Amino acid sequence: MIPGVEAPLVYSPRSLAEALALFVANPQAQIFAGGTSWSADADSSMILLAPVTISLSLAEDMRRIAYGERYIDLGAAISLNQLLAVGGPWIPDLLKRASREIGTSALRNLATLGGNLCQKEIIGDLVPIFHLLGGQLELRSLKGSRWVTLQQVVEEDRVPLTPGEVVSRIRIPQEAWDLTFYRKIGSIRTPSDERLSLSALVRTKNGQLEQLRFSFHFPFHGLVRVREIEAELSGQNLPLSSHDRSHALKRLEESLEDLPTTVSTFQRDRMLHMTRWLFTRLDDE
Amino acid sequence: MKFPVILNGDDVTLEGDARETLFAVLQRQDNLFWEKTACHKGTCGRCHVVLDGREVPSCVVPFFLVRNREVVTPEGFRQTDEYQQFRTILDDAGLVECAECTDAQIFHLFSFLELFPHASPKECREIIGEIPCRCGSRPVLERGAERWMELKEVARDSRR
Repeated sequence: MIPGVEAPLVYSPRSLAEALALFVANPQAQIFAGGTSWSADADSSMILLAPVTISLSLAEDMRRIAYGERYIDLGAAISLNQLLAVGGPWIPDLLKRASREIGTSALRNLATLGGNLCQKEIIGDLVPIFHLLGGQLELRSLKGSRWVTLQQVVEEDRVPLTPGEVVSRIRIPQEAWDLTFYRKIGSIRTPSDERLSLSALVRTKNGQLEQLRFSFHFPFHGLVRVREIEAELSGQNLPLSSHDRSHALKRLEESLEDLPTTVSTFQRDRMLHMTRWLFTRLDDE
Repeated sequence: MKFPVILNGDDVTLEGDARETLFAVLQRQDNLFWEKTACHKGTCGRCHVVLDGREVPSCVVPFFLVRNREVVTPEGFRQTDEYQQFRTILDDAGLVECAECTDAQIFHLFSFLELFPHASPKECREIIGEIPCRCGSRPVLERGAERWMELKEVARDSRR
């Protein structure tokens, strides 16, 4: 006990339905998923829980993976290591690669997919991944469920949850990609503002770039994804012409101005450098 | 709050505040983590425990989360046969004891290999690199991990 501070009320429901019912009865409650972004106070060794907390650690039905013909549904409380331990080709390579670079292995046993997407202060590392993969989130409440696309999440800079709603599943389409690129600069010990990642999905056919999707993730600033460039480059012969490259680089640089906060020139240069690296890798393929 | 926990194979009752970290609660137990400090971010690797078969940093796990669950600390792991086997392999590979990281490295690496028994050398290297230390034992640990996986594979094949 901390003298003078009331102990929090913690609920640990055993299913999503139970969690939703508790959320209606306690609308001020905070959802506790993996807990990796809830910092502990070093002096008191206390985790700063909300007065009413609903922990999803025992909600087994939120940890299921369902394989369909066209989609894979991932429970929001699946841990990153649980995802990484799935064998076979079911989980997209890009998702696995990005998950492997989050935190440490021990933290990945706690960290959940839903928790990564719903972080308050920063844009989670998996947001650009699910965005590129064309993912959707199922938001459930006692009243029912609705689906939101990752595009909406990116546009609003957060998961658009209304009171009583919880992210229950993440749905990603089953699509085959020939190449996957994921590069992350900065680790868990790097100041967050200096982190940057590039994610890319590529489909090629007969020496042509059939489809390209790529984006840059600045955790504190936002995502940079320019669909115009993707559309312009898709269908081009490989290697890309110098005109296409320089146009894409120029357009990317301009797109930084659309971000709500200013990205440093150092980060801008790194982004452009990573784009050149991506184009070189496409040439090699 | 007070509740039962299986701690290093023994049924015990632990007491603490729901918000308290598991690390802080365990430190009050005799001979557990008594000499260490935690980073409170889950990144230094010095406070790891195995919670229901999964390695977690105890400095970010709130106490309420361990109700009725099984916790194994590095001290408990050291008493197991598997530790002895793993330690022998690492010693044969040339491990030199480092007061800073050896315990944490062995615990971390073993837990990882339990979850990912077919890890690639690159993955093992990354995992070993997660415990920051400058003692230079990483190549030895990598060799040990490779040897351990080979032995486990042989054991699995012989059971088939």
